[in-house]
Amino acid sequence: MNAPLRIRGGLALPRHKPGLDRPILDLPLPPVLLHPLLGHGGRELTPCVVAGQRVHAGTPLADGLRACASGTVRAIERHPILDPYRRHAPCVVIDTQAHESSATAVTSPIMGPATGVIGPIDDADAMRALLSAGIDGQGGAGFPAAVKLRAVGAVGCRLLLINACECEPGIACDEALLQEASSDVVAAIGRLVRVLAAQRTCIAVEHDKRAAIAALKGALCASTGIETLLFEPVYPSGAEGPLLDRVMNHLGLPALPGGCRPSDAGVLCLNLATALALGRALQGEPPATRIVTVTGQDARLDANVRATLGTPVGWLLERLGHTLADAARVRIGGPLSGHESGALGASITATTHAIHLCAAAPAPDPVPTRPCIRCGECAPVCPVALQPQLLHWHADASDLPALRRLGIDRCIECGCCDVVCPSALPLTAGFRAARRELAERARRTAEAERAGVLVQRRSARLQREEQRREQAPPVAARSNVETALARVKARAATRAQTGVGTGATTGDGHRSGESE
Amino acid sequence: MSTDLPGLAAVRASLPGRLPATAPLMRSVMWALVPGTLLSAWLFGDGVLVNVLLGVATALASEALALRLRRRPIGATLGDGSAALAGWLLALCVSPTLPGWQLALGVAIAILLAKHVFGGIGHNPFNPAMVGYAVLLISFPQTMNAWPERVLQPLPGLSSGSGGSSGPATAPPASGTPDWDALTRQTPLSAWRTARLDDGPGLQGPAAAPRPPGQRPALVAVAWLLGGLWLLAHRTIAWHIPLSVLGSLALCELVAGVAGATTIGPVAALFSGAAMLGAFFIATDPVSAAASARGRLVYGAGIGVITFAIRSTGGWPEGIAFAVLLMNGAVPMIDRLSGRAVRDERTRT
Repeated sequence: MNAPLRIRGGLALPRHKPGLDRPILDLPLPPVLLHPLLGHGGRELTPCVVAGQRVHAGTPLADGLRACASGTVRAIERHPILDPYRRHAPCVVIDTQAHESSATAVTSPIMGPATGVIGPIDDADAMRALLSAGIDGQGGAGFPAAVKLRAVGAVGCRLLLINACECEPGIACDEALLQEASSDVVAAIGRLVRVLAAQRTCIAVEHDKRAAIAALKGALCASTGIETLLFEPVYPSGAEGPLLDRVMNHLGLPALPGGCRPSDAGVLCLNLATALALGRALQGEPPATRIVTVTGQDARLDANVRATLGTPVGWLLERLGHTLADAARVRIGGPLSGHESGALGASITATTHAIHLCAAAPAPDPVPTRPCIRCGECAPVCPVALQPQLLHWHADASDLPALRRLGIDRCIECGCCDVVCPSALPLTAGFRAARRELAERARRTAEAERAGVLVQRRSARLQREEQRREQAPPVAARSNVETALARVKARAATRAQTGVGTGATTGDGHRSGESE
Repeated sequence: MSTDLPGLAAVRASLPGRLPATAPLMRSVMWALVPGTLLSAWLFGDGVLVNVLLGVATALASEALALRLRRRPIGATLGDGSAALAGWLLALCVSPTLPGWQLALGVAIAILLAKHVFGGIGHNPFNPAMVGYAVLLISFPQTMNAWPERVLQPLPGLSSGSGGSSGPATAPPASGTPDWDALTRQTPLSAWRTARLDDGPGLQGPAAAPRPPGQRPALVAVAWLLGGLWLLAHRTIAWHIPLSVLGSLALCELVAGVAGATTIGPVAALFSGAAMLGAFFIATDPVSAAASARGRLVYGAGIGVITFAIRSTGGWPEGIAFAVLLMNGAVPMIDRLSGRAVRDERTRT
């Protein structure tokens, strides 16, 4: 155990971890599961199932998306989703009632038989199982684990960092998991370490999670080689970038190169729950559940629940005993990193850490917004060493090149600058909009470049054809037609003699004439 | 964590008293100005208090007028204290004998032209108080440079002290303005400067000997220093700008002294003129200063160096105002060069 480390910047927020005083509630399978057809970064996925098709837990629904339970695809249609950027997306709707009885009996046909922990694991098979498991990170970004694993697999795993830091008030899902199932987690990490051949493995956790650390210590007794790194409970120490920077610095490892993902440098950072899901995938279990912290007006109903991915939020809240008023809104995630959503019909995804039921209309921020006086309070709290006051200035002027020069790409949208701003400016919202605009422009530029290449190819092809036409004598062209006509006549004559079917040959003749 | 305030408001509400806000920030700066202001009034004459009251009143009236013309809510913006502070600071920079209409004109220019023409609080590229000061200094050099005679008198009860050398009896005769000379005296810095210029470039002879600041201005400078330290202790201002202004000014004096030039020495330089007031209260105006910590070090160092240059070789007795304005003009460049985040900048345990 080390003296607690502290990430750069950040805010020490009061500890508020709801529902930790009671065990994690296991929710039953809801009657309907909704799986949004959205990949990482808002990319729309093409479904590979059709309405009416029977699916099992683990059946691919699209590239990188697998069914979490058995059932029948009821429809593929637009539904509200929990996303800060868009309200609706096409979803695969799975009716679970029909197959509930047989759900547990079916093993995934894709992942094959359980790999098990006993005996040597075939590395290639295990890696294949991990890559094909379709597990999205259960940390902040929902980044597909397969992408990270593939990169680390290519360069070798120097460091496996399990991120159990969860510093935002109102979110307790990882802490509940560590408190209750640390032995499962440690076993899963052990399996991952063997498959990835990780040189070094650490678990990062804040020192104020005493019960969780005690449980972790007990679980780590059996296994060796997994270090525990204690962190100060500072928001946002759970963010991958600042956390990894500090860990690399502490372990004396070379700093991560800028401009690429940590996994490209052989450093794999996984959220605690993601690590558990991957460890289970090695045993042949499909990704199915996540733990969600649910809070509302009534603190007695606060709980951490284990819910199947795709469970509708409204169903989950009612199941827990919350009353849903007409004006009910939900806040997804924490007070700083989360977003509000009016969609009770939307379903939980891998990144739904917490659901906060708010009954009233949004209260106006009591602090009025004023112009920025460049006081600079925002700079020391920025965990990625940006200068939010300068970013704000250029974001106001929509000066995107200046924003990029100042490093807005590295903004993790943690909201620390919003909290300390004496002028109560919505800094993060402006940065988020600017980042979206930059991403959109980059996408458009890439599209335009691709289109440009196609246009160039087309014009080159047209030019080649033109040249060929000019080189060939015009007589030849007419003779081509004449020969084709002669051929058709000859074939007609043969056909008349033999009596073979007509259509195909005539078509052939036409086509050859056209193509030449 | 309150459940009816989800999101950011809840987080703010959970950190009572630990978050900065604009209006309390300006109020703290004004509290830190009170001791020095009262001390100046005692040592320099009641004109200081009259000037401060006039400056604040004019500033508030100008701000209200500008907000009305711009159709902005008057109450909230007037209450943040930034305009009153600008008027107060400008009033402290000028002579207590300055005619009231000149001070009012300077303050009105500061608020209307230097602040609101550029978009009000947060948008002015130049320090409003210093713009007003520069306009007054250029427009009314006689009244601006005329300080009451008592400024240079030794303190009562300390007349036999070591600082007596700057008394009026030994001060060199002022050049140029005999009418005002009968009424007023020069400040120590201008007296030293006049002597230096009269003696020519050689800087030799007893008349060019470095003069320590007068006892009264030095005492007021101590009051500004204490007020500034109180602001630092309450984290109302950051240490970067005061330290780099004073540090670079003292370093320049030290280097010049070592190099053989006739200087008043680093300590005297810090406690004479407006160095302390400028370093803690004027240059620290966040709106017109550089934005990043590194940029603020550069900005402050630039002010110190330019102040030294103007004091020792320029045509004005005091250089803080022009140094601040020149560095305000350099802020966009400093921000551009220093704003980029450094990837390998990390915290240490």
